[in-house]
Amino acid sequence: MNDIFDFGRFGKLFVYECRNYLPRYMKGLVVFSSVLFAAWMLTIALDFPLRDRTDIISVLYTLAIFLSPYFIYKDMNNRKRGYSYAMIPASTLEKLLSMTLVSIFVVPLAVYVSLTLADAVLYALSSIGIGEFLQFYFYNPFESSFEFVFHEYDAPVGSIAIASVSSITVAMMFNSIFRKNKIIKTVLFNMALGFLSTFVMIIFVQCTDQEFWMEIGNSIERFFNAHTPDEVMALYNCLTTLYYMAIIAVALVITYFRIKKVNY
Amino acid sequence: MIEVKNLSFSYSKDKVLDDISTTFEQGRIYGLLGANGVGKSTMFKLLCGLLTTKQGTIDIDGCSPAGRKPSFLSKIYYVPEDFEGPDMTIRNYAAGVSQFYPNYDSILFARLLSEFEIDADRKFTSLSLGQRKRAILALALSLKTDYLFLDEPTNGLDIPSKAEFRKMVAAAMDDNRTIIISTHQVRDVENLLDHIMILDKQAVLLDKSVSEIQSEYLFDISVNAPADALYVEPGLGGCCSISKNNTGEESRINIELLFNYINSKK
Repeated sequence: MNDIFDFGRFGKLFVYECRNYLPRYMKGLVVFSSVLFAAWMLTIALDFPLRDRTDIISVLYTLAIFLSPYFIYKDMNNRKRGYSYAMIPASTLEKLLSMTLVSIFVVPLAVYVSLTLADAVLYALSSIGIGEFLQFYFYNPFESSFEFVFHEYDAPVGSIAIASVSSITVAMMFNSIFRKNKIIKTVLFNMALGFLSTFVMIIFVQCTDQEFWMEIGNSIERFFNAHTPDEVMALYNCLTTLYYMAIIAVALVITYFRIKKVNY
Repeated sequence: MIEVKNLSFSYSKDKVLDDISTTFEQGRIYGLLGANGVGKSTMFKLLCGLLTTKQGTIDIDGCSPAGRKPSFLSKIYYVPEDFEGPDMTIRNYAAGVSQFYPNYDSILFARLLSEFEIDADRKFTSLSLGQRKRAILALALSLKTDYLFLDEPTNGLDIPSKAEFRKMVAAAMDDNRTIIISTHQVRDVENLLDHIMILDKQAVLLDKSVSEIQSEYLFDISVNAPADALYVEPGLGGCCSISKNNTGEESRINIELLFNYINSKK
């Protein structure tokens, strides 16, 4: 028996996780979809502009995707219930790959279908243009969904997709690290990291010679002058892509070792 | 075969197991006994690879449990004391889990569920503790793994279910299987066990087969305890006693008495 990776066993695991874990999450999607109905009611009652409602859907979509690992795999490191996940006779690599595929492909698709169906129902109930979501998101779900978050950057779909994948893998990582209050701890950890890095940066700036920063500023200016905006944007996208890929790699490696080594 | 060598384990500063060495052979049912907190569940978790050994080694058919290799995991099954079960039907759960176990017997599973009077289409979350326990025991026995670890399996079972459980475990036994049962309710498993292991804080107080115990000790109930009794306890039918077996006579083991005797010696 191949203890590292076996396609047949991986297939069984993937189907097992889709069948056993996803239905639980789909119940949560009913709640998400009902928020959409609530938004529709507000649209009618308070005469909300349609654009705001679409933004609500975007936020719901984003939240439902990014939070999914915390709900679908919440028991994976639970001292009492996590043993059943650890004892599934599949390798760590197969478990990681299955978790990644479920979180990155299956859940976004399920969320998209559920919100689209909810919107279609609303469109059928009322023809006041609620179905905009259906039309607007049908052609480019990724771009339109993340426009809410990234609209000021005008980033290409590829960069948005890789940023989304990195956020999902980071959620997988924190889900595997924290045993309780996972979402709150993730937020607090990131806030602490943000404060710490800002603090370190401030100290660094204050301790560094003024001329050093002037020189950096001049270098950047020279770079901008020597290149077209498209070239600068291409470099920026390349660097951000590398940055996100590094984050994805680190998150996956940490999740791998957590799956392999977590004690119950 | 399971070989445990010089195994030590502690939770932070609280040492639970200290330098324990033993073997669990195939074709036997082991009773793992001990007071609360002596490390019975910890021992199970170490054997399943749910905890990592800090000192010493565990070898199960050439595999270290901590590696959690699929080939190893498909040979073992563990039923914890407080099995909660997922929010899904027994049938669906069994269908999902069983595909990873090559020896799974679906006919046996259906029969065991029927004997335990459990409806396979009910969700675990809608069952009582005893019903959940019966359902997972039925699955555990049907998977036909080489090693089966049962932590307090009779907790929450009613009297008919306990009898059914004994019958099923006895029927499920074969020369290639090893079943380890941890329990405080020793009377529930008294006639099942081939080997008894009594754990204490950081030590193994007894690790002997039933036949070894029978040849070493004589268990008796009489109005007056024998003069050479090693340990005596008042019981319903008189005095329950343990004496040295000098005659070679075979008596039925009173595990509770044996447990109390062994503990009184420490």
